[in-house]
Amino acid sequence: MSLLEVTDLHATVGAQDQQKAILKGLNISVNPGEVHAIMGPNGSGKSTLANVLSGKPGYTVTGGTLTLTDTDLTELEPHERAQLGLFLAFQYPVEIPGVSNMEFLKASVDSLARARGEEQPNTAAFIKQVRLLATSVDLDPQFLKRGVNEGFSGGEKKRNEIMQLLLLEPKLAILDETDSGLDIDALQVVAEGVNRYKNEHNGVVLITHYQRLLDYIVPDFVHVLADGKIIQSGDKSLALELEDKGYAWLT
Amino acid sequence: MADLSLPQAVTLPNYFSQGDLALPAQILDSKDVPSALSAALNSTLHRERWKYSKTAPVLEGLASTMNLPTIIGSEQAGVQISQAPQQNLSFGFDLSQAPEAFARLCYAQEAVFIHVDKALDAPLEIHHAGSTVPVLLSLGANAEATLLENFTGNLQPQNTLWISLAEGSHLKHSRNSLEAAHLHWQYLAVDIGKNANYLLNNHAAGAGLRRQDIHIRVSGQGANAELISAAMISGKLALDQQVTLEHFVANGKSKQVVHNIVADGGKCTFNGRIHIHEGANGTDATLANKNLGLGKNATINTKPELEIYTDDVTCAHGATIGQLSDQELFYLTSRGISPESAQALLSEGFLRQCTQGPLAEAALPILINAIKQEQGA
Amino acid sequence: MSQTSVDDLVEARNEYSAGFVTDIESDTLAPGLDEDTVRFISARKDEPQWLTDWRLKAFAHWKTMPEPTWAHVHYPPINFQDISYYSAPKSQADGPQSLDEVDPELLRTYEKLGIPLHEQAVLAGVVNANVPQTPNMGSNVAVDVVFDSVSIATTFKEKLAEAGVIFCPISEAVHSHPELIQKYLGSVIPQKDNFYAALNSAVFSDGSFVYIPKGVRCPMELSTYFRINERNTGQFERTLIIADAGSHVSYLEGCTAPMRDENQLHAAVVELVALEDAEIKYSTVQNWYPGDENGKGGIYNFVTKRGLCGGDRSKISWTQVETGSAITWKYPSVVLRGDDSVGEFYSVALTNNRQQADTGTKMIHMGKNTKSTIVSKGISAGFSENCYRGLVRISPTAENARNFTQCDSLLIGGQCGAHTFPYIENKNNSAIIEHEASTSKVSDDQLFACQQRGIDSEKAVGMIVNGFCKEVFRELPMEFAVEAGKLLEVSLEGAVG
Repeated sequence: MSLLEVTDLHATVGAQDQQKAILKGLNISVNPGEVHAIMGPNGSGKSTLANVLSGKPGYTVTGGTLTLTDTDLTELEPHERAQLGLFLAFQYPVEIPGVSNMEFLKASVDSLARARGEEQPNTAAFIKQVRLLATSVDLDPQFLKRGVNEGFSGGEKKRNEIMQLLLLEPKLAILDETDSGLDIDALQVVAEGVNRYKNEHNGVVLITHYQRLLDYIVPDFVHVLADGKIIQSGDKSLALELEDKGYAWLT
Repeated sequence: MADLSLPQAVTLPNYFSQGDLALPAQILDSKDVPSALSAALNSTLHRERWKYSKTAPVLEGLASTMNLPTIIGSEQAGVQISQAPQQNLSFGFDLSQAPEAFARLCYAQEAVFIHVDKALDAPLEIHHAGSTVPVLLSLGANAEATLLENFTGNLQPQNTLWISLAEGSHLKHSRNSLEAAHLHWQYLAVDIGKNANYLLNNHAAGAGLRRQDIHIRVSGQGANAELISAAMISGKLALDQQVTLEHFVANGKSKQVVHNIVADGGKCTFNGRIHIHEGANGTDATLANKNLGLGKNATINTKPELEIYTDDVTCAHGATIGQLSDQELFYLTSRGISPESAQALLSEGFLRQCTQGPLAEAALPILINAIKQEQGA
Repeated sequence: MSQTSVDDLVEARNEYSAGFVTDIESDTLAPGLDEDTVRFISARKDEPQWLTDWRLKAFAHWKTMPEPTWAHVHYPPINFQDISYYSAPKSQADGPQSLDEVDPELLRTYEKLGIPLHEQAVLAGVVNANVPQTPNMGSNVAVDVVFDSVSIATTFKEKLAEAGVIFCPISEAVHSHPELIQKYLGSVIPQKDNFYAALNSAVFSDGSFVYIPKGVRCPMELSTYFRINERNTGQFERTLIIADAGSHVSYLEGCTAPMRDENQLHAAVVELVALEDAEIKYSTVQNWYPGDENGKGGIYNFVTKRGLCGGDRSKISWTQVETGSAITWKYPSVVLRGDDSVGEFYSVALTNNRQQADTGTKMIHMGKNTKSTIVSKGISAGFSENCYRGLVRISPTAENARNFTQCDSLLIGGQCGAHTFPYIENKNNSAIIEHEASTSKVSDDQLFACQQRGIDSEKAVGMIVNGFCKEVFRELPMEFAVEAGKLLEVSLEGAVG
């Protein structure tokens, strides 16, 4: 059984009378244990894909199918998709002063546990786990008392996303340009976290503009997204060719 | 519009006629207390400040029975309590701001004078049950204190507090006004002297009408004032906050952050007036008022005013009215949190940013519970 | 510390460039105001009975209304009986047939003010004359000039007539289009709205009437110049602009006035009506005599201006640059009744010496998805007082309303005042309202930096002030944008300090 099955997906962005078509027949299939990289020039629809998969308001699916472990996602709300095991690492994580990181994480973990019919984790154990994970992505656990992403640099925000990935253990992780704006050290921390997360049961979709990240997180498949469709697929060597020749070579 | 008038004749308390405390300028000018008060009550400024709430019920209750408040922490060294002022203190009585407060001071048969002359070890607490006599608190030079205030009483309590801070003194003031009452009027005036500091953590809930008049005077050079306020107004309840912050002299600093959440059918009025007088050079004054509406039919009136009479100032104010941010909601729901829980988390977070100080722990659950009631419904 | 600090730059004011008086005979009513005055004015204009009755009704209201006193301005009480309410140059008694019949003194006055009447063949009946460009106004601006209460000439009548646009004095429209006047006069600003609107409704003398038919984009910008000449003559202009469905018009209002000792009252009323999909852009560059450096003389500008976005998707923009008047009291407002309607207010208000201004706007949101933008820039110098007073009101029916307000004050010197009184009243929480205000000054450091690069202080202040006002100037029609910048510089010359 595949994890993520996207068939002929068409999607638009914008308000009712001003919709703009962005995805124009996109196909992708992710099986357990696979890492897929999606690359493409600016404006190709990379972020739209991430937003449509996670159910962000403002986008409309106008055709095609979208399933996660055989469950149709199109009518599901964002929190329902998350409860099914979908995780999106944001490109620009938002700051939420007044809601502490710890409170936020606890609420998330509790909701997911409830959805799975599991018991909510013991608080003391949970706090211990979170602190360990924070340290593992190079974040000082003190931040847990502050507001979500409050006062964080770009790199710290991205590491916070990866920490959440490790904590929530989703079935499918979509990383939306997680490498953008990172220096080499931060990049390595992020990559190490993703590699620690992945196993033969879950899947990773890496949306990225540059090849660099793929040196650290080795993809099984590389797809090129252009003008709302996947126009070429291959293995990791495709990424190297793109770096060498540029996107124009394909489009 | 009919003229406003006081319920009965006013006589000046002894401590004015004996010269222990200075009379407000308006009375000195007019030499006739009733006409000075009447002029102030019917002035344009006063009418503006009562634009969204009825004045008459408050005026009617000015002379009604008052109890003594319960004061805890007055036995410690450094605190003197009496029925007369100790020294010639500057409380900054000003009829133009709230003539009714001065009238109440006159109607009261007595007042409680608390004087602090050093850094206190334990906090001072004032508990008001129903309407209380006026309290006048003064801190001597370099004195320090923490003041906690609590209010109970469900009918029509009125409470007044004047504070005078001498050179170099520090006062941290917290107050929780969370009980439902039919009509609750609170008056607070603070006069801050040279290099003195004042911090107010204000937590409030709506009531039939809760009216908070706050008048802060930055009177000494280098003085500092900070007001952080969080309020939750449930349906059918109302809160009217009128804050005047005046900078009289150079190099003063003030910061105000006011967050209000208003539920369907609730009504919230905020008037934050910053008045920078000529000569108050180098003043740095900011005001941020954010209002969050839950549901569509909340009434929110906000009027952040600036009156500036000199150019060498840094002054900014902002006010927003809106709902929870879509971006923030999505971030939470994308992590599996249901929309209702996300809304609750964000609303609470919004208030929590302004719930600080020793009384925050007591205030937060009450405010959060009020939000939950509105959102759960 | 620079040698020439901001404080050292106080100098005597330049002579007010438009400070001269035209010496011609005038048909002036004796001072005083009673029912007979109202009837006299109505008769002079040969008005139909329904309009005379309308005026009398307004006068009856006015007599019962108290003068407003809540504004942040101070002035000696006005004696309304001490003002003459009608004045028209005699040579207009029968109306001019051609330029030759117009009093030459009048024409010389307009030349001084840069009005292209004489240079362009504009008067009714004078066609096919040479039309050179003038520096003040582009050749594509139709001018309806008002000289002391009577419109002297209307230009470009024919071109506008081709498009079906009606642009004429209101006194004319009363006869030629009574149905439009009856329908719309007082529909946006009722007689009882306020003290000065009631007064205006009783004694208004003349003003512009504009009607843009359905779907028509007015082919040129419309403009009116005002001038007060006679002593003690109040100006009670009445303007009514109607933009029918899908139409578009841009209207410019610019004024000058001569130097006088007694204060002169200007209580105009401007009503704008925008129907479905229509757009009205109303721009003002106001240069009324502001009083001398000791606060003597100067115009009192107490104006009521309001636009009604009556139809869905309609739009009304007010753009103003106000530098004159001794006392200004005006709040150009927009009532956003139609769904998806838009209201805008862009303003630069400069006060110097002893001027006082209490101005701002009101945006009343009633329909769904309405939007308003307010950008107000106040510049205070000298001993002046400059107030922004605004109201943003969201009624319970106004779903998804949006408002953004930005009020900035620039203070020059330590004796002036800048105040902001924004009222925000919200009764529908789907609204998003943002209000920001900031205060700044022209600092010694900034001036020194400019001087160090060879720029003199006056120029430097001009640059800084222009930069401060950029957002508003951007909204002005080109003709006015140039005037506006120059106007600011001239107005600041007197008291940069």
